[in-house]
Amino acid sequence: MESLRAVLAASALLVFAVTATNMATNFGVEARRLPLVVGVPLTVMALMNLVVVIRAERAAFGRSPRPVSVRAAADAEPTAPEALESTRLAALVSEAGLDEATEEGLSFSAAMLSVATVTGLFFLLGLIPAAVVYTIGFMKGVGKESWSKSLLVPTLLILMFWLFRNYLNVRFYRGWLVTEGFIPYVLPF
Amino acid sequence: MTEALLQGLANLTPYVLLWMTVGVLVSTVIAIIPGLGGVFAMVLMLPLVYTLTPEAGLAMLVGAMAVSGTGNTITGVLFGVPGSATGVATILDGYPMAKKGLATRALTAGLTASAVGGVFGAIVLAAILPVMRPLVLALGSPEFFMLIFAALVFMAFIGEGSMLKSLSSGFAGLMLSFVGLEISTATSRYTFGVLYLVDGIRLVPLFIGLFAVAEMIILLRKGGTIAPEEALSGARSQITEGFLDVFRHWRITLASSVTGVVVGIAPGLGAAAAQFIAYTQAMKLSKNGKNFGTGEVEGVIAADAATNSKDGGALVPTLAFGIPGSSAMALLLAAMIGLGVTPGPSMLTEDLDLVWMFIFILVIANVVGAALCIAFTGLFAKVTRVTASTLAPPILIISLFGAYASSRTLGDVWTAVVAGVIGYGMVRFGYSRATFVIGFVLGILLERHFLLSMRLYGFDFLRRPVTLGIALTIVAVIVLPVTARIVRGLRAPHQEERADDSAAAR
Repeated sequence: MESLRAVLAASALLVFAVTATNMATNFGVEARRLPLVVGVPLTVMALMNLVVVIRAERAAFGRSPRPVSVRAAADAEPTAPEALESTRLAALVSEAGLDEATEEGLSFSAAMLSVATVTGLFFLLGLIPAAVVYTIGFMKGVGKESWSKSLLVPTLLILMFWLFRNYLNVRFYRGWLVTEGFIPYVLPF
Repeated sequence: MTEALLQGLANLTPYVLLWMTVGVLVSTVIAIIPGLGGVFAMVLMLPLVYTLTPEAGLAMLVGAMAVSGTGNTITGVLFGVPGSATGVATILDGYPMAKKGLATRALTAGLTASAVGGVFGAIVLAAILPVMRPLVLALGSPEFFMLIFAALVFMAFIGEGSMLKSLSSGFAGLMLSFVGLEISTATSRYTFGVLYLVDGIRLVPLFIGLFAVAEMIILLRKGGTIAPEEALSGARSQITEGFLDVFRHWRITLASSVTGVVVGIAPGLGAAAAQFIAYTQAMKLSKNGKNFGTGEVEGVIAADAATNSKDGGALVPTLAFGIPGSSAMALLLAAMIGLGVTPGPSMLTEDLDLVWMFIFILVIANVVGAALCIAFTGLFAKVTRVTASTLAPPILIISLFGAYASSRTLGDVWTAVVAGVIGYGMVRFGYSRATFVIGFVLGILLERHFLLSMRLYGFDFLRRPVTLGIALTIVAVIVLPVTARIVRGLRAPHQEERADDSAAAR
């Protein structure tokens, strides 16, 4: 699974390079010069990179135990149940993308969901409500922090934003629900 | 020159110094948190820069940059955990010293060496200025165009990580900078009919996404607390001892500071290389070189002096040529361009007072940063006990706020989030974010110089002597390592055959 991800990442770079270079050919003479000067070497490098990554992943795969024939498997010593279990577990961990997460960390999907949630809250509710809802929700729900800490952090955040508003005249996003008139804006800043 | 110096000094109003102190404080606290280095602190403060006066905004960023290596010393010595890649060498002797009960001495020596190194770097920058001016003014658009390309190639070949991936990242960043309207013909490039993209991808949300959002994703995945429970400390009387150690071992302090400056001038090497080169050098210079790694204070001094002195050196190509050698310099360059301050020849003529202001800021920030760290070590060390679930949510919120605040467009928020996911992927699969952002920042300058060169000389600009010399150097840097590898590969089977033959003969 890890090998596939590395190859996909290299492929994504190649697709980006090829697409950008191809699109550059449709621009005017002046406009396409530099994109082509950069795009063509980028495409070549991305292709070389993909080849290198595929070869590296194949070499790494080659070092792991190869599938054996039925006769060889029958002749082989029986594998200890613990070893089998840890191999299956290792495969599961890799599949779920937990290989770089620790026991205390989130999976890749959970981390992406967290980022999507805060972005969604920011878009819908605006900065201040999103800051309060997300911080308390995450610290209490995911981090299992105490109520005092979960309330202290958003309070400090709001204090910081208040300072920005009053002393630097920074304006905050109020949220789609407010700008479209679904809910009134009741905050003092 | 004298007028610019005095004007630079006059720019240091209480307002400017206040924001410099804010930058120093924020950067010190953030640098203590492993994984979040000086660039992260600068990224978080970037949106604020545009709400302040140019002098105050740049003072805040330069102050943050100047002490980005200072906070590393605290976690490195107390917990054996590097704050960032620039804090690894400090651990080699700092942590063993702490285990022997000499933590306070190690901290004071390291922090004082950081301050001395930083001041030295600023002095060198001031000394180099009169030499750089005529050199920079003699160069034209063709030379700058080729220098920018050389900087990118250099970064990829001598920087960290895979050469091919680094170079690809740099060129991908260059490609991304072409999104928007082309400057001479106003042709729309890569906009896909989206109005937001007509102005191009903005620097602030891109930086915030790549460095802040991406780091928070990594932090969410790692989880837990940053440092273990136990924290070691020593008697307060070791403070004097540690302070004097830096001057007692003045040869090592000086040599390491010089190393840091030289490495800083070369784009791509960075503080990670500076600290290890200085450490190895100190091992040879010291009478106790054999004991390095077991708790020699000279090892701590060498690493920290080099880490901070490199900033003065790194500012030379950034300010004089507009070529940043690291992510921090690229960010500083982006901020300057956003404020209407153009690095390069005009920086050394019309805006020379700003350059002098940077020099004074480097000196003051290093001293203030070190003094704060020495005074509040215990308090700063507690920051490392914060859990990921306490740190990540507010930082994500601040990141989205920062992305929106720069131009009050929701598109910037989406840019930051998408850049965050891409940045996470880049870290995951070993693609350099540093070369990517340098390519992106340089793309704007590259196109400007390219267009000017074409207008003035046509393709003949490539035949100018200095331009041709730089181009040949680029080719040599690319071709020579590849050729050497091929030759080694061809020789290897013959050497194996000779080894087999001699074994058979025996």
